[in-house]
Amino acid sequence: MIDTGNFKTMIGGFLAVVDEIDLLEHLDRCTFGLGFDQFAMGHHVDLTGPPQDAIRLTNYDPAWIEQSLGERYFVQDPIHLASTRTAMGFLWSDVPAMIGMTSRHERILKAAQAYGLCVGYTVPVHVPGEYRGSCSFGARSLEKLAANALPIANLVGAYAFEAARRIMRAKMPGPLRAPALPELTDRQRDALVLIARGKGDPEIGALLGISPATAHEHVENVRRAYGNAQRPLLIARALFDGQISYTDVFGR
Amino acid sequence: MVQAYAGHARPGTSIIFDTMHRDRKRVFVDLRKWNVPVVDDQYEIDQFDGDHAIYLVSASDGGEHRGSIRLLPTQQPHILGTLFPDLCDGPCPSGAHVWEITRGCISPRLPASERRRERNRLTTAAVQFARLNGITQFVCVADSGWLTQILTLGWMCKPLGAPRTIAGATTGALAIEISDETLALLRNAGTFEAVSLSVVDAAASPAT
Repeated sequence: MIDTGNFKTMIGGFLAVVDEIDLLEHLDRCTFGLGFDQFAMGHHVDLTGPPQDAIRLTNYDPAWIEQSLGERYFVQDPIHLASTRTAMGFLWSDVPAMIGMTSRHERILKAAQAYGLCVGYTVPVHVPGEYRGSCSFGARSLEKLAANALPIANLVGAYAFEAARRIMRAKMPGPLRAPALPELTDRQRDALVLIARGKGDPEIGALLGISPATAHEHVENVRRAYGNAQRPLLIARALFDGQISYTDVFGR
Repeated sequence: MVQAYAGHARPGTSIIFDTMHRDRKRVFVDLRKWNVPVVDDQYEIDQFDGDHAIYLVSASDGGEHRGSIRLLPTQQPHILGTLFPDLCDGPCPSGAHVWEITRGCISPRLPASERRRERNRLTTAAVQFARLNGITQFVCVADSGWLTQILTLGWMCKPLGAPRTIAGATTGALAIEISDETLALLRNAGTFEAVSLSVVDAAASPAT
């Protein structure tokens, strides 16, 4: 059991951290206090070229990080996919029930096990208008897990993220903003959902009740907001960062 | 503009209250699947909606609900003290200067960019209301996803006890400190939104 004193120290520690080093060390201590060995927290962005305002902090084995960046596992990470389906923390063992696991998903989980990531718990962190994110805790086994660890892990993840935001805001000069998704108007967002459904500009116009030229303009504005990404990359990024959801595209 | 309504208006007597309770039903019952009472198949109204409550409501020009927060005095029955006292280590905070913040609801009919602004307006209004009325602490019961959102608003927020799993969701009690610094903290977090706040007596303004 994590007792009241330890719990207060964990949360109080996040309120007190002043820089990333402090935060990393404190999150490391909390991870062990919960009964895990490893943690990774941050925004779900393209990890090979993350935007400046994205958060990433981890104590994962550097060799695993290198392998997963090199193989671009983060694009099809089953844990990440599961975290988009729920607002609540979940065990990695729950993931097969939450998503349709492909063989690539299985391979990624298996590869992670070699680096001690055999079991784990992930806390989704989703704030509207911000990149999707999560805080994950991993270990070889759950034998050291404290009895009340999992609900507390949710709080630890949330406070860790907020501490990271606070630190980043302090570092950034000028008007302070939380890390933001490209801002789209509602019409642009509607067009983006239709792009994700595979519609061309004329079809988008017909479905939204606007001219093909206006539809094209919306599409171009969306692409511009995502750094002139072509349609396939645009769709991948918008789903990945949470601008649109799988439900938006496929309905439920 | 945000209006602070003291007390409750019964269904059918106020457009603002009716549209608020309808939006509360859409958000808490239809979307978030809470097991809470629904009146007349359309209004989410619970045991704490009554004379002691204060409603901070943002409405359209036509008097329709855009967003709202319900404040309950901790010296009267409220969610934390009455339903979830175990979420506090020790006695639940109580006093004239401590109020519970509940049913934070933004109308799902608003587009996404508008919802964020309403959230910011209501949060700013809540802090201003607190400062005007000598409230130094808000308490609230929050589940998983909401915890993150409450923290993001930027105010100083601490748990009152270790969270627990209740009905399958991680649930915890939080205390939000309201001080001279709080509006500046909201500004730092990008939450501050200039808003004018006025006080209305719900019982005295039927069919608003």
